[in-house]
Amino acid sequence: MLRYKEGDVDAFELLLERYQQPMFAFVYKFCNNYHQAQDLVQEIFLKLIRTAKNYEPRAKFSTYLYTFAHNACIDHIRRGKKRRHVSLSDPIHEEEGLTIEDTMKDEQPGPEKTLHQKTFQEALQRAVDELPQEQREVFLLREQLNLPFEEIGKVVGCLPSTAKSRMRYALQFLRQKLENKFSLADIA
Amino acid sequence: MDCKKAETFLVEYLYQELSASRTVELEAHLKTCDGCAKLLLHWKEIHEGFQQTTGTPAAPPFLKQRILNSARKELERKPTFAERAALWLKPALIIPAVFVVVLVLFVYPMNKKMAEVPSDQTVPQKAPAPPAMAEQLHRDSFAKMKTKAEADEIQGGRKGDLATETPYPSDKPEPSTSAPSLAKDTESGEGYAGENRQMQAKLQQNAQEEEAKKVAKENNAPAGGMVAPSAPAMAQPQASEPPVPAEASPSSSMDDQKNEYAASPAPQQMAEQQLKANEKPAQKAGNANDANYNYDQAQSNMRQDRIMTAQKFAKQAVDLDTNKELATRFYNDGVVYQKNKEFTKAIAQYKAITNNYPSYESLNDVLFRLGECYAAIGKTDDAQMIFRQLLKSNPNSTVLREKLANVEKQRKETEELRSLGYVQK
Repeated sequence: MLRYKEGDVDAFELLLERYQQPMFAFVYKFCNNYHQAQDLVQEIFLKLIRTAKNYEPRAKFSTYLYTFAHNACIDHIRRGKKRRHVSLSDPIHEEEGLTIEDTMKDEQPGPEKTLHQKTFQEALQRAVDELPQEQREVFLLREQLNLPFEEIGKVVGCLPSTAKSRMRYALQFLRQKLENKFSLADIA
Repeated sequence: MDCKKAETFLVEYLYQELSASRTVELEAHLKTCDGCAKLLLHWKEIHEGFQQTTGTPAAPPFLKQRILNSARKELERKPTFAERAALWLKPALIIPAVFVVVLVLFVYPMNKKMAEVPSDQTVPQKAPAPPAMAEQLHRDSFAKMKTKAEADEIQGGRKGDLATETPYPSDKPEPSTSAPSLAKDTESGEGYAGENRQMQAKLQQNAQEEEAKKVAKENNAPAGGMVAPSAPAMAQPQASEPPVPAEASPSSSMDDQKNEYAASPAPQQMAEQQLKANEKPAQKAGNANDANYNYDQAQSNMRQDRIMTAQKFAKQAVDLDTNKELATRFYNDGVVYQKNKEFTKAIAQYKAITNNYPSYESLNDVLFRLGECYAAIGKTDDAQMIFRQLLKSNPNSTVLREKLANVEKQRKETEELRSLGYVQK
């Protein structure tokens, strides 16, 4: 970032390669809309570019960047844009015939687990969408971006202990919502 | 280790942020407790399930190029006239801005002194409580933190989340389980218990000094200056009495606050109003024995600035709250008031938690917000004390250090202006 501040665009490209996809994944999970995620990610990086002249390396760059992301997501919610679930078969590029699903990585577990896993994951995704905002942002920062609680606290502006409490409440909420869908009860 | 404590450590354990000694304790508990073991397994399944969620879509390929183009354009862009002017004007504007601020701080109080209010002037119906009442409540509330359990909670003792609020955990050694207990600290008068008593004593001293100054000033000044309430009317130390200090205007500077206090009724009238309010019998509603009903009534009155009535209902709510469920409601309402910059109302909510719910899981967050509110209304000493105390249990917290630095800066600026005579004591 300091190198970009001095005029090195290649340095910014490196930053983009490192952070664009995790950022996109986080924003997509937050707003659950592919096209809105695209706009938000662009908005976040544009803000980063415009404030580059005033950038001072006081904290980790990831904390700095994810704070922008967090604020952008909160502003997005305040603007009241409705979140709609996008179909996986929605096209990205109509000329190429690519759909969103085509861009996703696909894991191939054993066939006897696939149906349960799929059901569980769909229910989990719906339950995550129903989380209260403060808990959802902590949950996604931890699960999606793998940030430690200390850093999550800095990004959202709370103490690490508060971030851990919110995470605990989120897991309790999700557990309640997925009550009948856990596989380990069957295995046990 | 009991199940309640174990649950508070499970999150850190799941994400491998728990210290080695706590991990050993927790694993020993999990071997003997099926409930906690099952809870952990479910949480683990949620964590793994989310990680394997059927992919997340990749960002479109053109997005990177679009962003890079913007990055190049920004570097090539020449600063606009407005940006160049801002760079040049910034220092040129600072000096006149400071001059204007100083004039406002100096001239406004002088004008206010000259505009004396006669003692027989009628007072507004909804006058807020004067500051000395708030100080009295403040003093009482801190004096109530007497039990070992309360002191332990405030200082990041061993209960619940507070026990895990060690500083950023990666490389800090966990406190030894053989560390001196609070009982020993209490007996010797050293350690955190002693420091908490010192903090309380200092807060009381601050409050008493302020009250003495105001009373002295009132005796010297003509009627209509800052007034203090009759102390006995408010000094009713009851264990569950939530403090409800005066309402500050949303964007109040210290001078705005003083203006509000100047408009409040004379001490004798205030005392009479309070006594009348206390004499009224409690409402006999069908659900008057319900904690939540009383809580709702308290908040409704608070929103309408009927502070005494709100206080009465809040006390009843806390007395009826056998399951200790209202703490979260107080917290949520405190956050809303704080966001709306109604800091004194927010302080009332947070103080209700610190006085009555010492084992509340997010107590440190409550204290943090309390410190922020005190700083916002200019009570820099109290804010400093709270942040310092929190920093002892979170010594590596940069958030706390920044807050403390800001409060210190605010305090110094106020002292400087006070020494120049621009701010009244």
